Amino acid sequence: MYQYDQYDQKAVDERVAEFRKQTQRFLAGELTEEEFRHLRLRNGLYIQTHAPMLRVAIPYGTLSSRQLRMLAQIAREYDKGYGHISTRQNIQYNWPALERVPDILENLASVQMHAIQTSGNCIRNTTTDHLAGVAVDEIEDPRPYCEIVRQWSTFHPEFNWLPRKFKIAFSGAENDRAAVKFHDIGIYIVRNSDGETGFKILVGGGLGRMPIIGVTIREFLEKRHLLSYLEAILRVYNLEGRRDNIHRARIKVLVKSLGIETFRDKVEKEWKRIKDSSLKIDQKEIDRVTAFFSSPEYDRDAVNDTSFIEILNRDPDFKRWIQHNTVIHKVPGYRAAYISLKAPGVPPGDITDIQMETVADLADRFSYGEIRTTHDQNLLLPDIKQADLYALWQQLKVHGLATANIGTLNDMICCPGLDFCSLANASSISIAKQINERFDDLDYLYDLGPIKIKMSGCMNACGHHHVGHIGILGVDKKGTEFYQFTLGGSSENDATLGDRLGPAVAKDDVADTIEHILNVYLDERLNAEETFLETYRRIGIETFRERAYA
Amino acid sequence: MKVLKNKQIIEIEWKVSDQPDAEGRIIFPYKTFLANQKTLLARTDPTGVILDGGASLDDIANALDNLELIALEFHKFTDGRCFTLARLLREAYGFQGDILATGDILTDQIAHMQRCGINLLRLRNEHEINMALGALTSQTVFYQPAADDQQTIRQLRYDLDTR
Ligand code: SF4
Repeated sequence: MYQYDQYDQKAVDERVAEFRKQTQRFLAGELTEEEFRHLRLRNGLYIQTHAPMLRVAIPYGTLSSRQLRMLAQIAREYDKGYGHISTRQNIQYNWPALERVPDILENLASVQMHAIQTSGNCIRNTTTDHLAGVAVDEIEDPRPYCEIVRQWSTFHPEFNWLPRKFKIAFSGAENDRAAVKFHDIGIYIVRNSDGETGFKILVGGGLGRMPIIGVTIREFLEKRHLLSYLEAILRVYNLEGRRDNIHRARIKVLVKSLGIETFRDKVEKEWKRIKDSSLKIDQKEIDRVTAFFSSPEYDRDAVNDTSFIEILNRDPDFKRWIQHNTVIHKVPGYRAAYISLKAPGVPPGDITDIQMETVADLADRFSYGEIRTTHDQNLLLPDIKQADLYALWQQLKVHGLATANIGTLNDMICCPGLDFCSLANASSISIAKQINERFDDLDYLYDLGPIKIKMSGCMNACGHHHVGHIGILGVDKKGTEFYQFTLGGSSENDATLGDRLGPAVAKDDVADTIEHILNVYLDERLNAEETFLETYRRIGIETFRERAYA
Repeated sequence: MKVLKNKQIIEIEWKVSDQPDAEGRIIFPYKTFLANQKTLLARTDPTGVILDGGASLDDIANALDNLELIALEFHKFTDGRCFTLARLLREAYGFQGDILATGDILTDQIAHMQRCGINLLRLRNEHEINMALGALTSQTVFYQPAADDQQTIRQLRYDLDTR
């Protein structure tokens, strides 16, 4: 993975010192609440319902074991012993004390991490496919380009005060696992007719109050022009994006109001002016960054192991975990293993300090010391030899990290909701618990097949409810929590926004409503192979609507 | 007015006036400038104009050669449009005169303003003027090329490589 050199380190160290001074000025009354708010946001620090929340960047979801150990230590020393993995592959701490945040940032800097630009109206952490570098359907590893974008976007002098937040995601594979179409800029690595790889660029996607699927602004961009093209888009947006209404300020509103043709003309005009400037990335730079992401020395013998199949046939629990929580790897004899952070009774995405340390140790032992965070709020160990899977699973089990529910109904995406967020209408976490308790029979969940439930505590849609196969949105009706359902959404290649089912239901009826929806699916599916989404698309919302409220 | 230039606090002689016949170094509000463009561009004394984030640079492109100063007014420190206007003035329009930042600006922003081509900074009060010098040195390494002549980190890495 990427390693800081003296310049990266200096940039981050200087930022920590700057923020320490800013915090002191605020505490001394030299900065107003409003001024400090914008400065602290650009260092990841929110003030929420109970306490500050610190969001730490995990660039494109990649962590070393050393970094994860530091995250555990921070959870223990500065928080209540746990952290929360977000849908943008970052980690959030819910209980740090404001005065101590500069110390946390200093600790992070010591392991080449930071919280820079994880909130505020600026370019956020670039995200990507958690299987980058190991996926069998990969066209090219997106991580070097994510790192190039990370460097360009960090402390960009021109784009630190945008109309609104700005999110960029990459996918380098056939299957989009990074919700690329729902980002301000979404980038697919594609191959053109000459066999050359480059970028397909989408713009103006996003969820929130106004969910929109991104549209293509350029079918094929040569790699060397990546940064100049991004800079041209950002420049047009920075000047022309609306600043009078926070709900109309994302780039999607600008693209929609201008129309993609006009928007593209403006971008391309600016791009022509700057494309041969020093923003151009030469092959040398691409090679330099790519070298950081070269594959580990895989064991060619790994595939000859026979113990794996033997144990698989002997231990049905292990087999279930393999089937649901591991995926095929580009190298025969290896698999990538998910670590579910959706155990029953635990808020989705939460992980304790001890669990973090356990995962760090297991990564060192079995996966070349590397860990990934996923958009679905789980972890992944990317490179496990099949012969090691059994030992890994046993260790994970001891620490409550082996729930074999990846991709099932219980592998929910869920925002923090009322428990932490001051904007929430609904307690997403307790709803997650209700669902988990109702649907606790794994065989039933396996029979249902892949179903993505995504839940947001308010219209801001941090839990991506619009793109859940089943989406749940908390709404407030005269001071009481209600839950609005959408069906048929998807954030993958077949990106779709869910359709609204009907009237919102009371809190106690959420699990019942889901059960009704699932019964319609089980009754209507053509066979066990037809997924929930396929059945939904075939029969439409009416049948579900008729029976969901029974 | 007191401004920060090249890490020094200096007094500049510019004054703001909306009287087209005012004499000396005068910065005119954009409205006054538009309404009296012919007269103002024919002045022999140095002339400046105030733009805000909503300005269209194409509209004043023809006048740039006759302007010695452009003041960019930040109505709110969170409104980042003037950062882009400054870069465009320098890099797209080749403007060589002074670019002054004025209005609601934080000392925490001035390093980036300078990178974008703003060379004169009018801070909100005396206290901030004193703090500004510290703020300018808070960042010493830069990932991006901008409107100044700072070497980027990428260039520094290459220099190391080829040494
Ligand atoms: S969706 Fe609403 S409630 Fe949930 S985290 Fe976002 S703002 Fe808070």
